[in-house]
Amino acid sequence: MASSSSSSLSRVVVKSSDNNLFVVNKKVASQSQLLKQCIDNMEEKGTNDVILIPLSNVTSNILTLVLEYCEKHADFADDDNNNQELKQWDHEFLKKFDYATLNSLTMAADYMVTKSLLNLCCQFIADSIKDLTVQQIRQIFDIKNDFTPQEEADIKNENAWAFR
Amino acid sequence: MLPQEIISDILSHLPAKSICRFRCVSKPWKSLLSQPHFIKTHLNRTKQLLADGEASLIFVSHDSCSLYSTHLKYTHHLSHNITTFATKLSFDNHLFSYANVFHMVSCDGLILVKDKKNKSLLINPTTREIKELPTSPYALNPRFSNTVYGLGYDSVNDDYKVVTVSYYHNFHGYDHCSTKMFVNVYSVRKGTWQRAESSPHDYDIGFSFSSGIFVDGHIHWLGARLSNNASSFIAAFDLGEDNFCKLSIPTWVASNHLVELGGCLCCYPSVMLATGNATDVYMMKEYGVMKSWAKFTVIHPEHLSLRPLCLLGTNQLVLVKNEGSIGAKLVMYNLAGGSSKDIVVHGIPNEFFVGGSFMESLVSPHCTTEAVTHC
Repeated sequence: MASSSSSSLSRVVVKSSDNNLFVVNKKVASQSQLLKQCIDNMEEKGTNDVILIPLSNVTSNILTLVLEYCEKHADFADDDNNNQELKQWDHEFLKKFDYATLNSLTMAADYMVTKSLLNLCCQFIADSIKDLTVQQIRQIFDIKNDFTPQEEADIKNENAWAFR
Repeated sequence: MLPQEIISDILSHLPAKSICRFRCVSKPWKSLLSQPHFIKTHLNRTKQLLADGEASLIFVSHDSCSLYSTHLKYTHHLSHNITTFATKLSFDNHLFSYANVFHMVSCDGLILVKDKKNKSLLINPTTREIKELPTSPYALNPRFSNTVYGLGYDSVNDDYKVVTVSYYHNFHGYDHCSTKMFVNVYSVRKGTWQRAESSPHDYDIGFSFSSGIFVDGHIHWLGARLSNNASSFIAAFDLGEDNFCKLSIPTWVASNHLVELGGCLCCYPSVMLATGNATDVYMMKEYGVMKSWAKFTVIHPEHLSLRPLCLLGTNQLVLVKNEGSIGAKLVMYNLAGGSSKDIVVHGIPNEFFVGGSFMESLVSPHCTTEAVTHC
């Protein structure tokens, strides 16, 4: 919470890893716990300067997407009634992306501590892989099968019901 | 490539079935997907889904005496005809009857059910893991006693516990006030039975032969003094403390069965107490708060017995009607509009009985030593 109105910031500037600057309003930025923490710290110090937050792990095209999400969710922050509409928006938002973009977005959400976006991405990816075979999972996540044929037969047998 | 931590997060969003299949991907995945911490994270996520309206049910087939399960979703109520598919759970050497499943209890995806040989089984119907509980060294001789059961989670010790409450038969009339109560507690973590203090209160909780209902860290039974058969309070066994406390019920709540619906403790009457074609169900909306008891009424055109099983979302009540006879039916009842739809179950021979509800989870019925306290 702001300690006094005089030191309350209304906007911050966020810098992407490829050195693009984004001016973000405080309510939108607060959707990210990382940005919110930076803002809170500055406000405690009582600074009136516009602060610059560099995000060394997030490229500008991914940051644009995170901020688009934060903006939408900031709009709905005080309004639980529109839950269904927001859920629909979330789904449409993620549907557009290819697998690589989705992965980058997930990592950015994790890095920027935007819990609801992280959860949303994880659920979306989980839903898209839940019916895949063991072999397909190994390909997607680039995992080497380190079971011996006997071990693999045993564990498949143990979980036989999950293959039906 | 995604870091390990995020992959683990993604996997915890999967249904239990996918997780068990993906244990076959590699050794590191097998180990990750079997860790108590992962299983707990998955459980907590599933509970959120549950709040969104999902539940599973247990049946027993009349012919083969085997258990079946099925999964129901809130969205089912939107379809004109609700159909669901039951899967047979094969547990070699165990046969079940209606009386067995009627008394089943569940907690966090585990169910406690007796087989026809009277063996107590702790089962995860999702993963098909099964554990036969050892007989308590403190158990009373079943020929001369009655026992009621309960199953719940002790968050203090991160442990699942089975609680039994037994009474000796009283051959000299029904002076229950002098009847001593024997309480035994089985710890799934330790794999052993222990005796617990009997209730300091003056009541009988064995009179209805009903199983205990787990809500909010306590297992609940209706209590009654025999002189006055109306239940006016609930005996609550605190799983962290291993002792009993007492919850009051408003006098206007006339019910003699307990059930958990939507995370709340509820009372409903048996068919004898139901008046006309309406059944009043009482819900304690806020745990331990007398003032929060609220009533909702289930109207049914035919005068039949009704047993609530679970609540999907906020208003779809799944219940069994005409229980105990071959014509038993599963129904989804809309509390908001009062309309009801039959649920047609495929994949199980026509004659079956309904047990109770459970949630899908990876929680194992086997002993574990590693506690997970930080979630």
